[in-house]
Amino acid sequence: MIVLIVVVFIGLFLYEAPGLVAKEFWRELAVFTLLMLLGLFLSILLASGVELPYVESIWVELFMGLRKMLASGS
Amino acid sequence: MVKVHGERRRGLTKGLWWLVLVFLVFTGGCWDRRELEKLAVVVGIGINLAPEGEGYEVSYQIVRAAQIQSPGGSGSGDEELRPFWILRSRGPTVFEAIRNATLQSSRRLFLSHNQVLVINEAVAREGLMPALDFFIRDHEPRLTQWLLLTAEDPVQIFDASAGLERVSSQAISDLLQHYQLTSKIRPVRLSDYIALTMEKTAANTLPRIRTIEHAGKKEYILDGTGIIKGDKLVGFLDPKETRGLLWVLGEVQGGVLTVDVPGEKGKATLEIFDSASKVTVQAEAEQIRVKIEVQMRSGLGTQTVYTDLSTPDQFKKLEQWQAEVIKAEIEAALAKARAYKADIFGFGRLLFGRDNRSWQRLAPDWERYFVEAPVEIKVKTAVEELGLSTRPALEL
Amino acid sequence: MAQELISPRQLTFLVISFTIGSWIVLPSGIEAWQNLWLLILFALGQALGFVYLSLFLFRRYPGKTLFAVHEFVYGPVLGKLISLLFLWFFLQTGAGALAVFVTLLKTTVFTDTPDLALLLPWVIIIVYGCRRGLEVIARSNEPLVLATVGLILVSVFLVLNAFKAENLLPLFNQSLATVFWNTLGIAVFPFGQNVLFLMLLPQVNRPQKVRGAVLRGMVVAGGLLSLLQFLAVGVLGRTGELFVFPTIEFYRMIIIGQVLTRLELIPLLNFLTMGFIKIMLCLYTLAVGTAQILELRAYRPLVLPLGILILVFARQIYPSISLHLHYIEEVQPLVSLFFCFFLPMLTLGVSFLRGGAQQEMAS
Repeated sequence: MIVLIVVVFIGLFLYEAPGLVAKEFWRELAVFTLLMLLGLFLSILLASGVELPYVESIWVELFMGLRKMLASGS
Repeated sequence: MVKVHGERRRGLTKGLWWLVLVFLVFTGGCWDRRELEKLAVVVGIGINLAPEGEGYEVSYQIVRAAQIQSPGGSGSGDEELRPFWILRSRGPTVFEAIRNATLQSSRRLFLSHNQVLVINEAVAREGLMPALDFFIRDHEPRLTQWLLLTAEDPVQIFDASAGLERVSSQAISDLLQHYQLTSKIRPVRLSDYIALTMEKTAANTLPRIRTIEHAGKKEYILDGTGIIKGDKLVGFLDPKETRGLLWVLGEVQGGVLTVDVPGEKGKATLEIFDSASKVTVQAEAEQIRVKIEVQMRSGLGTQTVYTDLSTPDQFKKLEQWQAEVIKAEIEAALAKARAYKADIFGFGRLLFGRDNRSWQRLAPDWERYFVEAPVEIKVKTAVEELGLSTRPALEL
Repeated sequence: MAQELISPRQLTFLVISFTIGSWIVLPSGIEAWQNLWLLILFALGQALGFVYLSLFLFRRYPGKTLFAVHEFVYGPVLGKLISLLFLWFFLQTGAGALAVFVTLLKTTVFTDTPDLALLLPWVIIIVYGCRRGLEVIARSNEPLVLATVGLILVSVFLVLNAFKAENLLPLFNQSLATVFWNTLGIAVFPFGQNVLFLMLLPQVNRPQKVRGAVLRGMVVAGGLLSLLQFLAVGVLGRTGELFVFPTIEFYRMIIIGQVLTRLELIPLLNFLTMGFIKIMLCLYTLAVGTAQILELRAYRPLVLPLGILILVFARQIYPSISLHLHYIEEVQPLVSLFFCFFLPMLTLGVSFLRGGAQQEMAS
């Protein structure tokens, strides 16, 4: 699975990067590469079964925590 | 140079696009592809308590697509030729029972086309929602299924002769939709049942079905109504009382009504054209006051007396007699509802909608308010038609 | 970066589909189910106020996107940080909508299909659309909106026989607190999310018509949602409260004659298209916004990696729909209020305090 992900990412990279190089969009290339690496990193984490936090769970806990703090404060 | 590059690029994008399409066709679509030949299309489901131990016994009427077109397969003939297959399975919950059915059925049960849910009264006495939850939660069954109660094993109903139809579930669904020919049953869809169950003060009703033996063949008949209070079966209405309920709900849209002609040995039957009702519930400090106004139109359908009933004077009398019959039916239904302390008429729902504050106040003790409520019944009827003849051929 | 222009009418259409977006399948404020159609109208009023005020930013700084305004008002560093917050909001909105649609498909039609097989086609199409640019999104959006509007109007006739006016009663049996909270919930989602358009307004070819176009879109979308909700309550009654996707359930109830059943697939497809547009706009804004913050010349190369991020986030939005329902009811109103009202107002306030600045802009 991870191999497949890496292959897909390399494929996508090779699809996009030559155009940027041709136009000499170096800054764009750098941002693109960084974002791709971030995506790759997260995808691999997900694929290898690492438990990442859920976005809405974080919000919920944050607000529940705030509410508790307010409740105990008053 | 740039243009050429752009074109190459467009070609590439186009290629990618096709790839996506191919991908979509060959992956997304396949997982849930269901072909009719691979499915067991269930048209009727029966729910019964498991004979021993916990849980449910669920029975299914599954259509045999091949037999449904070919002639010859009569309702109760040779097992192989019947246009449907009856299956039963058990499980601790209805869902598990339904899945367990695939231990016997070569095809996956497909519930989207289910027409009727026949529920054994033992299940209803213990509470219906535990059995019905699956049908609400799952994505296949629909809320438009008809609910029925039976005192018998639901399999008996599916097994009975379907009369002119090939599959009994389909026939029962048709029967329910023609309820207005008699107005003596009240068809209830799963969605109706849920809606009333959500009203704290209301009680549900469900039609009953049973089998009768006729010339060595089993047939079924819709007969009366069960009263469900707080999700549990508590009592029954007979067909007359059921119509009493329907008058109040304004759901009588047909049927016939027979009145005794006083002073003579005979009757007259009137055909109901339509009816309308208006119920007002007024909350007072310590009680509710209910006013039921029913309007109804009918025509003379037949008479068994040798008196001329076609005169304007007699029509006046007929109107009065039928109003009395209607009133009696309503009162009978009301008496039963009071006996079971079950608000089958939805007086509470009306108050909930019109005067929510009072409802909030009275709801906790609604049973008492419902039973003690003075009910005023006003019936206004009109006899409008005679049929093709005027007086009977022979007058005495 | 070559400027792609859209007309005010296209902007109105985009606002309609962005507002209808995912709300239509998974509404907020369900606690007030029976009066939801009324609450939508209240919320619309409230949100029109929010958005009207936010649009002052565009008036004050014509031709500038929200992010450019941030940098102008707060200075480059703080401005970029605040813009970053908005990027997070767009990412969460897009990924959230995607997650909802995938959950919907998973529970209704494609029950045995793995998540990824549902997510991937979505993302591929969205990335493809975004790379084509705003003009293409706006143009393809027009027929889709017309189809959806048509469908909702046709529903009126489809449900005539199942509609019970009694189901609409009682009006206002909720406590004032419930009404207030749920109105707020609807005002920020779906209406308040239109703050996203502050990023796209400079791309409208007639800037003087922008305000009317946005507000008109919101009114039309609000009217449609209210109408649909009105019908849904009339047909489903209080039962509607029980369902995760009440609109789909509403269409499942429609039976015409004995033949026309199983109609829900048509609206389902229709609402999917609205979802596509919504998520596409989120991704487009993400890409354009990132490009602006980092002062890039092109946003297109960012679409693909950001699309992948949306996919990853869509899987990590909520562990189960149960949490999502809880989030929508309890937390989302506040989170969205922060982004959709508080931050733009703060920016507007600061910009007024710093005064004088707009003269510089106007010249």
